[in-house]
Amino acid sequence: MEPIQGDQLRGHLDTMILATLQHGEAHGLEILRRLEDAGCGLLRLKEGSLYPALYRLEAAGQVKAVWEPQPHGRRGARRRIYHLTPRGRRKLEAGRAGWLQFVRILGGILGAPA
Amino acid sequence: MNEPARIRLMILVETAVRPVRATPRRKQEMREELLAHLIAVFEEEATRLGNEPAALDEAARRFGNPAELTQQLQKSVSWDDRLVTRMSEFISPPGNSVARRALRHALLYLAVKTTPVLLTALCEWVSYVRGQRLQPPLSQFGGDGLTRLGLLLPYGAIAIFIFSFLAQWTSQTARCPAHQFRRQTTLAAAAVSLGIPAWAFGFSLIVIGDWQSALREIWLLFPALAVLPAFGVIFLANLGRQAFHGREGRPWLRTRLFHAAACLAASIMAVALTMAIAGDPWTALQSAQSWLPLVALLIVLDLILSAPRVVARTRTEEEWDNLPTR
Repeated sequence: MEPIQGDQLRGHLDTMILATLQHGEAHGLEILRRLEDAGCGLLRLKEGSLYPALYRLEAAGQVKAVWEPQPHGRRGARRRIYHLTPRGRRKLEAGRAGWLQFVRILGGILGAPA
Repeated sequence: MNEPARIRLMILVETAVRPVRATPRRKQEMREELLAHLIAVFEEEATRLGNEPAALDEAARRFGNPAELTQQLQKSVSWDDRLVTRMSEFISPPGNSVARRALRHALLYLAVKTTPVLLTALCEWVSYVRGQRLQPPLSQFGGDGLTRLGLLLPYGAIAIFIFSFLAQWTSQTARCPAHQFRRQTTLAAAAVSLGIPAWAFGFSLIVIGDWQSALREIWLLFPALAVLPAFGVIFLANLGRQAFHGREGRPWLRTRLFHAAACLAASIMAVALTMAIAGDPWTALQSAQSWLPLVALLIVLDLILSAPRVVARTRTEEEWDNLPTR
């Protein structure tokens, strides 16, 4: 199968991040690992792009972040640990419902129902 | 991880973050988090590939195009952060000289202070023309009062210019080369200890209207006005110097205690001089003016307590600012 590139994920990245955080709090790299594992290695995401998405979600109150207490040998470079907020959970549910509707409609048009 | 590899990753981060228009604090958060990510990726790739240069290239490839990331980061900046950034750029445009910035601060002050007076005058003039008001506009100030008001507004602007110029000068002194530091600090301290009493005298002259009474007022305050600000300049310049050129791991407690003791000595000296000049110590102590040095002392103590945090932040910002970006 062809890998899925970042452009094809546009519009879905925020919901995907929320879905990974449903499994527990995580820092940026851990979120990417979870996405890669869930995508069976077929997701090709520019890793830097994850952070603007996380900042957007944080500004929207859908995730909250705390700085890790120790940088673990990375001088002047701490990670932030993200977790889902109640608003983020509601957004994730809405995102899932929207996705199911999208797949149903497009599946009908393309003649390949999900 | 070796230092050259770390610097290369920092440059990658800085290329993406520097053009973003956001508050310094927000940008620093972005830098720190993105660098932490890149370092973790680099370590992962170095273990996998067993080759540092190849690991650096792979980390950069996985990170993505910094120019695209800049745009994405810019879009992620919240509205309140953008507002604060724009206001800050409006008040102190980056790249302007010290004098131009000070002039801008003075003009902004003048605009902010003059606008309500002009609006009041306009409202009163409308009422006067309509016959709802018997007195002409701004008559409550009287002929002499209006003149004083006209003098005080530009005089306030001059004060803002002087304070802003001196604050920026002190900050620049902290960054200047070692052989110029002492001369620059002495000049700044001398300018402050002469400039502030001179400005205060002018202010009293406008308010009181009689130069002898104004001089008497200022004479009483002279030690506080001349000694404390000069000491503050020397302290801040040294603090800044410590931030920009000091060694890592300097015993901060000792430095802070030394500065606190010096500030206390300067304040006691200023109070004692004020009391001696006033002649009657109790009268001097009862006057609010005598408490001025103590207020200044509290401000300086606050600076001392926050000094380690300020120094750490300044060092970090300086490290990032000095990175070359494409």
